[in-house]
Amino acid sequence: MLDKLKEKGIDELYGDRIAVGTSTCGVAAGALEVLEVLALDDTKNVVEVGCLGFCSAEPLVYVQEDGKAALVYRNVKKTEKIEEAEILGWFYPWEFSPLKLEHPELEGYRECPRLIEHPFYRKQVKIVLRNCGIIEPLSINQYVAMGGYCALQKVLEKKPEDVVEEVKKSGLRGRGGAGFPTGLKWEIARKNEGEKYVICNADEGDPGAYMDRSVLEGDPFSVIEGMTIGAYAIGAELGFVYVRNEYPLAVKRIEKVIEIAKKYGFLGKNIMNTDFSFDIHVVRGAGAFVCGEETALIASIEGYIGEPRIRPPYPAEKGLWGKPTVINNVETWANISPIILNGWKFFASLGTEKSKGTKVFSLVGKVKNSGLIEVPMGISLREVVEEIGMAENVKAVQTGGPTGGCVPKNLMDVAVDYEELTKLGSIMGSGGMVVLDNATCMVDVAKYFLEFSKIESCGKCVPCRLGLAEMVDIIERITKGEGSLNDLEELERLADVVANTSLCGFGKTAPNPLLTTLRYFKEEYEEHIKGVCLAGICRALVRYRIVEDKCTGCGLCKLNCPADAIEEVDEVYKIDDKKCIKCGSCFNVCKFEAVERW
Amino acid sequence: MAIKIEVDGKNYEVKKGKLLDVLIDLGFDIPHLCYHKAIGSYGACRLCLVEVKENGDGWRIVTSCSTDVKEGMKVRTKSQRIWELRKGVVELLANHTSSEIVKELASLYKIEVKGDKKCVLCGLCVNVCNLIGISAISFENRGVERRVNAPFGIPTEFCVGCLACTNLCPTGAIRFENGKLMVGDRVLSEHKLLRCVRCGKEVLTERHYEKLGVKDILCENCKRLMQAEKYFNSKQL
Repeated sequence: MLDKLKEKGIDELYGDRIAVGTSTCGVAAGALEVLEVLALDDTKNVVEVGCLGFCSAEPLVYVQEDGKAALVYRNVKKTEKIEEAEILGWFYPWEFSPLKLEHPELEGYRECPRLIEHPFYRKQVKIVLRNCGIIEPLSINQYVAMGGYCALQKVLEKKPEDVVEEVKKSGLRGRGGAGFPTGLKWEIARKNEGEKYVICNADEGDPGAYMDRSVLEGDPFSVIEGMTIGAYAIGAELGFVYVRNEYPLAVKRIEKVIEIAKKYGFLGKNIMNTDFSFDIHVVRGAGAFVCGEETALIASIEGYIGEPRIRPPYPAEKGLWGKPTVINNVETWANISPIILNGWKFFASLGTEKSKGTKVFSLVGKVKNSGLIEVPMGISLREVVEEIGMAENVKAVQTGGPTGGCVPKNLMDVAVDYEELTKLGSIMGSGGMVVLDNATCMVDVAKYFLEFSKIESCGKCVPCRLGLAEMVDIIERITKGEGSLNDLEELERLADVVANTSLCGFGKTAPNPLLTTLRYFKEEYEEHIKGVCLAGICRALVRYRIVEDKCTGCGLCKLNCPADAIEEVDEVYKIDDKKCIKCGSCFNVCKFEAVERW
Repeated sequence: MAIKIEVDGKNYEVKKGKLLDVLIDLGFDIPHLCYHKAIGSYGACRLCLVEVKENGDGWRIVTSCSTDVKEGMKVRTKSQRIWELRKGVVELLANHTSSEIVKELASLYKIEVKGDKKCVLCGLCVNVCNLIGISAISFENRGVERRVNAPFGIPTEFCVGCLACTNLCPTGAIRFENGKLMVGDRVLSEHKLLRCVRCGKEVLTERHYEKLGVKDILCENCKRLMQAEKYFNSKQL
């Protein structure tokens, strides 16, 4: 059956088509309008695909015609003809996948660069994102043509324990953040008797991170294939995808592919005509950040309030409804079928001694090229930020989401690896990477993340509930210039208590943004205590004034002032300190550097 | 079978179970608010911290309420590190709550009690209610806003008034006054009280009476008196 689907898929994938990236990132940039305009031409085969990763170049559209490779246009506007848009490069639809694929020969382009030579793509190695942006997410034909379900077919002929062994040897570690060896987790669950479950954790909630969303939107079949293989390996018959309701497109896509997979016999009773049966339910999360913690997620599926539970027992021993449960995140599941198809050696050959394979990051913040990247473990943070992101004036990189830490510029040569990042006081986390430039106030950054954690703390255990709140109070005082040096000691002491006594991983890591900024940017805290915020971010510590000699009287500042705090006096402008809300609009718009911040 | 463990440098032979229970049986003073033997570990108060060493691993900080004793386990209950961390947790409680038990703990660590609320959110009331199959009350809100309440803040009729919650509460935050179950100024449930048919003393709530399915409503004292009367009457016969 696979052969038939593959044949159809190859025709669809390599025939004439115009593909528009309509994942959430593309939609936000206006891809749906572009799609609408393109679809007006009946003679063309216009299709929707997932995200190619390059978010700052969205909407991305590529054209495959007359036996030629795909030519990608960036930042396409609905008002222009596609040929008028800027060309990003060209690529072969199969070249990002690590799998050996059957495909017809396509002709490349001489006159424009290849996509894989673009700085954004040059260092990337795609395993998880192999199909994102290439296939139509709901097309089973195209998924199979890209090597889909071959892994499941292979697995069903093996003994379950051999599958566990393969994953174990590959060195794959959980991509949700903690980095627990996936194969070991499977083995523990396999050894436990009775009814078992597998869960896909798609409750991605880190601000500025959207790796899992993109995979669910762009290549949902790979996730359910991974889960099906996992279920076979541990002996489960039921699985759950826990996805947050704020990802409506991801919810829709995953529900749809489950339906399609069932229709084709890749899910449900007697999968691929074997004795193995497995079904998947979708559970939508209501948006609590802590539900991404595995025990809280399990509680939420059971219908209880999403609050972490004591570990041990770990879910692999006693999880959902007290039964052995393997819970992995989206990215981990999407790694499974390539590992099976290419063998553990292929995966283990990538990365560092203890961190194997690749990792998807959402590279955002002050970078020129922002988007989703997949790089081999062990690549240096500097390469990611400066070469792929092409960032300038970098001050620090915040890794690991709101409970991660800030790595300063001078330590950016660190290899991206679970242990190395932990040594610097940060964490790998699920893959958020926020680049901060010299205009950033590090105290303000720490305050932002602590406030986030305070609000998202479930409140079950004392240190996380009350400790984070006290930390926020102190840091707020510091940003207002009302802090003292004792406050810094007190912050460190509180951070120690919260990190070492909290119940779950969230509380244990929540002080990281504070601890790392205090470790690497202590002078900024001291400046704030003296009443200075050099970056000009902390409003209580900055004032604006207009230098009379430089003011040309153009009035642009007054026009942009949202607080009506600027008035004209004798052909120059003056700021009324009482009305000024210190937003900095005047400072930013003045073309003559007449507005001073002090 | 006896399990050999070492606590603060001394050897003991103990039965299997949760480390906290074992330590308390051995006479160690381990503070705890959210644990009760009948309810099991919940892990909210973080006060029963101890240091534990197993096999060749280093010392780990764990909550003793959630740790099973194992053969050869070494335990430290009074180390400097434990003292620091436990003091940190007590201080947080003392900054935000005030009750006899918190005052007692705070005085041990020479901390001033500044809080005013009584409830420490140990969860015993909610957990016992859940465990006996009533599930009338629960937590609402997140983080510092978290509190015990009836669903949607409306006094619940699922509460039978068994008062297991008020009996377990370590701080007296949840209480039963004039037929109302309350935490702070929130009414969780309202009850009609039934009186002893003999002496007229208020004995139990109407819903509890229906749930128990007993015949006559009698207070403890009257029950005893009636039994005694029966006994004497039978002797006279």
